Amino acid sequence: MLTNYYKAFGLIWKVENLELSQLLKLNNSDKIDIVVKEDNLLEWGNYKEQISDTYFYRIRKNIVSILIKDIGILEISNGNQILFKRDSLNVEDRDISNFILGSAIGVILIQRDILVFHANAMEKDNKSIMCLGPSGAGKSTVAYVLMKRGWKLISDDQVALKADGSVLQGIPRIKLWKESMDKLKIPTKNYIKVRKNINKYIIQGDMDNNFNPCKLKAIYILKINRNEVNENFSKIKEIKNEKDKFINLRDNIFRPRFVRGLGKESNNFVKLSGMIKDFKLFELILPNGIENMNQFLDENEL
Amino acid sequence: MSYFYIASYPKSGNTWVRIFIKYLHLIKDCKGDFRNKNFHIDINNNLNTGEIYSSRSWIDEIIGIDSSDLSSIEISKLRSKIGRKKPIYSEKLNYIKVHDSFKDGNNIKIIDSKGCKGAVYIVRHPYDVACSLSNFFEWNLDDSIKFIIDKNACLTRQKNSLKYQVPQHLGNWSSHVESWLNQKSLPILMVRYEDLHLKKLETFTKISNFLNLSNNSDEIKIAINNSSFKKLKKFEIKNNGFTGSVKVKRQFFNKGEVGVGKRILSDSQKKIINGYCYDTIEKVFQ
Repeated sequence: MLTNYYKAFGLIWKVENLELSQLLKLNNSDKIDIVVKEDNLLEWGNYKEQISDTYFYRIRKNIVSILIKDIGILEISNGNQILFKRDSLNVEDRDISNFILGSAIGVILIQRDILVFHANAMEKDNKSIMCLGPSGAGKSTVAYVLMKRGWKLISDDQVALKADGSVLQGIPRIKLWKESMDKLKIPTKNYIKVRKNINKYIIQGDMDNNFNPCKLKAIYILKINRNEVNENFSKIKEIKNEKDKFINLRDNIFRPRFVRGLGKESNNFVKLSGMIKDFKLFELILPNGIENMNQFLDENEL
Repeated sequence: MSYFYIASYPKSGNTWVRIFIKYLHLIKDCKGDFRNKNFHIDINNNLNTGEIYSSRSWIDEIIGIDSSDLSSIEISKLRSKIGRKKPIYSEKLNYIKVHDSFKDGNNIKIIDSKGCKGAVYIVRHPYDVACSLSNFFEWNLDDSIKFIIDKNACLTRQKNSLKYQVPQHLGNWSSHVESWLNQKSLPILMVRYEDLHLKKLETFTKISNFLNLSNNSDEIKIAINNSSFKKLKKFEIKNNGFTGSVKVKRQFFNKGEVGVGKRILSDSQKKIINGYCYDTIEKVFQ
């Protein structure tokens, strides 16, 4: 049996018979926080659907089961175990690892009472920023442009905040569509696809075994530039009202239905309220085109 | 959760109907005499009638994984189980906007029917749809016609304007209409876009009744008046655009004219559309 050890979100992950190559790999570890392994899982059978459940997942006590059609099942329990089952032998390792990294790890963090955002986080000069925005808002493109400008990617997709408002090193990679790769002039042949039939590629950021969580300086909510007439249109506006700040952050919590189903919502809101004064929140519309974006970033310090 | 679909091929009056619904809700909720009130909605910020059925963030929340890590076929297989659950923090009403065909090109059912009370399906003459698509997407008329007759036509994730949405299979205009009208899972009210213009009170009253909103003709008349094309166009000019138009240069609410296609399209262009859509046109517009 092949066993791999990884470090992410300040936790040690022991993974059996699967590579999670987008995480920081360790040679070995005596301390283990989470175990990831294959198991002969069953669908949820007699478990009755609760209010936060959907056709695709069931949440009971501290266990979340996710059914991924034609791929398999993930069962995440007690903040310390991820079990997976493949639907068939045709399901590749990268299919499973992709969904473990994409959802199961987030559930582990939620189960551990960690505040997780659907976002990415970058660091420069010991200060970090977080970019929020719905799927498709361009967070990964912005992250890539910032990486090229000397920023270090701390985590993508899921950003975990400590109680003191500092950001934990998580999954330091971005996933870019071929269309975005072409625009950024990145040759796709040098990169691996997230899954065989998906034209989305993994760009790995640097991983640092000695990474120190750094304080969050600002949060940006990315909005799409709708102004096609003026490609150079951009806007940066601070959201000062605390209620607006709270709602904007609440709306970008990672998988909020899992949070509610696991009974962590009020705990999350208390944490959020506690730290809301510690950082600035901005609405950010970046100009279209990489050159325009770079020019904007030359003129505006994030 | 019970909900309705407001479904249509693109550029067929879907937003217009949802604005009418929103006004009717405002009127119903109004305290005091609604006849003396000035109702105003900022359609860019609080139309709030319901999600769009292709919303990526909604789908991701319900499936628990990132839909952008799935292929189009994999997404299609999941979608018929989405509508029944409202997004967690949504304060919107339950009138879900849909442009998808009822089934996709592989005959996979896309639309969830569990808990659904029915669908209003708005159908507009394909000659006029061609003109409206041409205006909206800045396509020439021939390209709009190609789109209308394309059995694989799809609003895809490749378009910048649809990053927030998963691909939506439309099929050709005729198969779109037939897919909704022939399905047996949902009660359906078909309304013609043309009747929304030409038989306003009668048609909007039918919609209002079907959605169990109001029987009161005064309420319906005020809602119709507030959602007139003239007012919507004025709003769009004043506010530098309507967000439903996403990223396009031209106006979302253009003229909304009835019969413009018949005047503008050449005989050969009409013939091409008729070649693919004649039977459905006859059935719907006889």
